[in-house]
Amino acid sequence: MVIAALAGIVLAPTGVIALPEACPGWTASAQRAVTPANVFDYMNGAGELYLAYGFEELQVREYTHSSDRRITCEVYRMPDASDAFGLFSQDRTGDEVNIGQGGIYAGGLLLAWQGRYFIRILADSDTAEVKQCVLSLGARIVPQCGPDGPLPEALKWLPPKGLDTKSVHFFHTHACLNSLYFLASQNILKLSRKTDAVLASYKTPAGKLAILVTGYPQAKEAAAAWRSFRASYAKDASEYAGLAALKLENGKWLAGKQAGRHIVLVLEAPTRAEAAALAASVQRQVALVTRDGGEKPK
Amino acid sequence: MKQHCITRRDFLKEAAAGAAAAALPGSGAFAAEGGAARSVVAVARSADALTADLKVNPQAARQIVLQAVAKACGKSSAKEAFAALFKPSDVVGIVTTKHLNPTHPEIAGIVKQQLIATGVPETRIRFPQSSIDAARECTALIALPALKAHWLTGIGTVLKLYILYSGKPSNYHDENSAKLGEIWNLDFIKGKTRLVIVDALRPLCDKGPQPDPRYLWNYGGIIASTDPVAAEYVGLRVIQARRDEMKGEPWPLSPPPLCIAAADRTYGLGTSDPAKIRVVKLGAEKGALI
Repeated sequence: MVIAALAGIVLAPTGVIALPEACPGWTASAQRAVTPANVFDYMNGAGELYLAYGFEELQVREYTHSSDRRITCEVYRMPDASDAFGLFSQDRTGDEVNIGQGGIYAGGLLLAWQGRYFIRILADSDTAEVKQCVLSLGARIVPQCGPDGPLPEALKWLPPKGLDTKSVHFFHTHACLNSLYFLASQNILKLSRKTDAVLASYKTPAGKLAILVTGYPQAKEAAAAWRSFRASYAKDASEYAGLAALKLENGKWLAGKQAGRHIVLVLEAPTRAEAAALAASVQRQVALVTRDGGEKPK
Repeated sequence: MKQHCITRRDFLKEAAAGAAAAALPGSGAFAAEGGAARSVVAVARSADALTADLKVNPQAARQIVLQAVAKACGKSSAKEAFAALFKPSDVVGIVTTKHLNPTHPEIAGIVKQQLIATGVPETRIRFPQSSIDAARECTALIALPALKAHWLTGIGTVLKLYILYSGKPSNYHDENSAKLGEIWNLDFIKGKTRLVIVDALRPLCDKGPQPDPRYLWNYGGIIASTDPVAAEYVGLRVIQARRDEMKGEPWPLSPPPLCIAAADRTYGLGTSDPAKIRVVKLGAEKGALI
């Protein structure tokens, strides 16, 4: 508390993040809390994204400048660090900044994560002064967010060779998948808050392709999701090297398999051989890191 | 109504077949001038519509609103167009996007002033965005949304504008977003929308509805039509073109806006077939994207 006070930070009671006082020349509004119960009053139409990651509480404070410029500072408390990273992983387009466990800045927007907190600070303009204030707010919030949190276990499912690390997305739900890669209007992979999923791009000698791996609490749920996927999307797939494979209407190849609690899908690969090789590689990686032979390990 | 499952492969098939009225925004040609277009969409743009600090320039904005409305209605002036659409006895609701990349209030003000100039008393003009009762009271509506992508529905502009009138907005997200058109057929809404004006001064081409400066750009445009589906479709084409331009390769909107084709084919609200839409472009050509 003493160190925090010296740094100009006021720690609020009961673990609530106290959003910083204003930068010089700016005026801060009162801090307010938004919960899942009233999130749609605060951001009608956007709340589902945060609910999809199970957000527990949002702290908001606005800062206004005499020149009418405005900054909105939001700090989301998530169930755990994985979900904070998941929100951050939605889109990492921007300049990397050294704020929290990961941060990017672009055009007046700072996105960062630290521990179980996701930070979103948005200015309505992007001048040097605004940028300095936005980054300063972020840097002053991070120390209150606790120690570093672990990355999602699901990231270990992805073999490193050829992986575009900035393209890795971690999420749970069908809506999140469809916003990143539209697969089907209905939830054919039976995704939910109880499932973990990673989507990432790989660069191979033959071109770019995407990998989707989904993990379920139990193997029988994965099996049901695989049946649903096959019936809705890949009825015409044929067996190839122990996988279901098919040529899509755009000439690219899809290959996939359910193994234990996981489904591995290689999406739109340039060749069948490429799709199969990467799917097999991912499957080996998943088996290695999860020792997945069926039920979730205790 | 149970929704049919639409997959990525359906779109790939449509694209391979070169379907004109594909459910995804394609590159199909719009109707030629003098052809048999069913709907007209006017796109008026001005490089001066926004100032350097992103404030609305009232004169330039007014000019493009009036130009777009006149052309969309096939009239020689906006005054004639408004007079053809609205009577002094009407109770007119101007429905704007209130939150998260909202409609610029200056644009709503221009439309209101034009209604007053047409003879609609100010006391008979409403802004019924979130009130079912207020919408019910209106005899005519002007849909005046801001152009933006939406992470749940693909696009969150014209067809999504009335979502609060459903009383159950969450029923129209995710796989149910295709049903947004049914809201336009609710008894207190159906047939009332006489004009659609899309505020495309500074649209958002990804990550909506939350504002995100990475995907906002100055388009300086107003899109107007009496056909809500055609207006939405043209807005979508602008967004899609901007996305492709940003990435330097096709960057399809995700999820695809299933609501547009459904509004045409299932709910009969207008046309999403570019071959039946005539686009009239006015003003700045650079960066028009269509």
